Amino acid sequence: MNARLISSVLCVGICGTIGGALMGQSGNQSSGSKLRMADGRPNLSGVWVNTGFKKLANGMLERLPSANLPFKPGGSDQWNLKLTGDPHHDRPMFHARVTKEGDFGCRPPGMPQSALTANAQQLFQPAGYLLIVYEGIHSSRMIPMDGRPHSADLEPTYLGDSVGRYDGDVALVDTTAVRPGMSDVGGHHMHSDAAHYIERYRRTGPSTMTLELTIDDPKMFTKPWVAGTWKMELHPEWTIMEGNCEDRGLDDPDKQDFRLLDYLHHSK
Amino acid sequence: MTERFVPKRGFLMLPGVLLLVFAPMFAQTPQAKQGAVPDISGVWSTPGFRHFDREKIPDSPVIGLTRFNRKDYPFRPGGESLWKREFSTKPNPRTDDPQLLCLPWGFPHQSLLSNVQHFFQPEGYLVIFYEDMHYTRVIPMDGREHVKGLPPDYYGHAVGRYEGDSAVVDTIGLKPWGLDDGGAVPDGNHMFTSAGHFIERFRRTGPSTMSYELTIDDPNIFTKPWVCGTKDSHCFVDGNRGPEEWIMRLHPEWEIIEQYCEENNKDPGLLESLSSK
Repeated sequence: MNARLISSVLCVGICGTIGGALMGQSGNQSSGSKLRMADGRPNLSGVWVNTGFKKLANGMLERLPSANLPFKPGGSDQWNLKLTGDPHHDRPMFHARVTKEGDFGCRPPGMPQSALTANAQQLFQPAGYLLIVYEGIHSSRMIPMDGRPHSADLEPTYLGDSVGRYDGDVALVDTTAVRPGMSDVGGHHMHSDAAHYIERYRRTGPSTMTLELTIDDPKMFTKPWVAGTWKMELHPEWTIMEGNCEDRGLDDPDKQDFRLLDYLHHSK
Repeated sequence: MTERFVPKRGFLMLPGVLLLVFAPMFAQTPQAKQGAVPDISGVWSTPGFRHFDREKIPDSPVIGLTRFNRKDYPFRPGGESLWKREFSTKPNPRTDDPQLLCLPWGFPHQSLLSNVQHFFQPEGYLVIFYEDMHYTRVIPMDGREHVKGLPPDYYGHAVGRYEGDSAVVDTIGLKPWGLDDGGAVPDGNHMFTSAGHFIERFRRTGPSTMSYELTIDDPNIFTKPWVCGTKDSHCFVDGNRGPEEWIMRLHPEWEIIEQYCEENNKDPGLLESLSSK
């Protein structure tokens, strides 16, 4: 068999192998245990919990650091909330009075607290987006992952404006335009309207993923800093449940929602 | 003398090249199967979304009030009393108009509100983001059965499947709740019980339209299911009593915005009751 015939046979074999692989790639794109989707994107789909989940089971809440941070002068006082003992001030998302200004409790966790939630979260990756549905307080995010820049003239919101892209094996999400508020309930740390967050989700194994959070807030810090790297665990057998703060305790007289109690008191 | 056929190198390479060139077409076959799923993704305005004054302010929406106004409900004995909301003897939003306290709209009321909804179709699911009160429904679309024993909640347990050109979603497991607007809304204040069972059919009808049909069943109230969203169904979702055929409209240029009831909730009736004390 001459060299030309050998090369021809090899070509048929190689081309056939590639073609056959192409025919086979169109299978299940988002099976949770696969590290990559068919198009090469890291597979983040499924129901996940982070380390805060186990902490909550032990009565603890995830908290960010309070000290040893690149503070600007006065930055520490802005970052660390001074507690007053008034739950409406200290933990607005759980406790609040009905006020004449029309403000109720059950404020959303917002960013970055939502990303650090102890509750389960379900991630989806439809074309062009990363969807994150958080179990707690029925909050969710729709993140375009096409690398677009932030829109201009954004109105600050609790969850801010998130845009993202895939960078190798990382899903990178950039969030700005976050309303000033609390960064973590467990630590009572605050953020200003200049807050800027970068999340890096990296699939590390059949049932694991890490979330690295970078925090930047030029009004408080001299430079960005990595707040932590949290390990997340996949639970393919779970379904996220409906989470409501608004009716908390309404059917149990011993656990009456503060808002309703206050309203009923004023209506007598 | 017969010449022996000796294929040239190019001829030998041909099958491999053909396979390489045309394989993506075969790889698309499961994509074509995926493509057979009706595309209902995007930002949709609901049947209750109406422009306030099309001539003067063509882009200004009006809050459509949801109410059901049939004349021939298939009530079972005693069903009609369960169908109407029972008001407190003393005004109490908890029972009379719970959304004043930012309690959830629940399903199916949420699906009929005038705010927009963003549909996504990740593999195996239909995920609907509702702008009003930022609720999300995650609906498995693989034809699975309902899970038994789940606690009832405001949005119930939904499962679905694709049937031809329709997405069909079946929901049970709901808390007894209001089906439409409460409080002082005329023709509103309809309730369902824990036996409430709803079937939605979303069917793409054009480049920017989708029909929405809702089958309502509650064996505690009705003798049989009945349908909304079709012609002559007498289910109104428009304060101006608009068309009975429910059509959703696609708005590719829109994004749903963050909306929280808990802030700036300046309902006049609620604040008046507070300020008078």
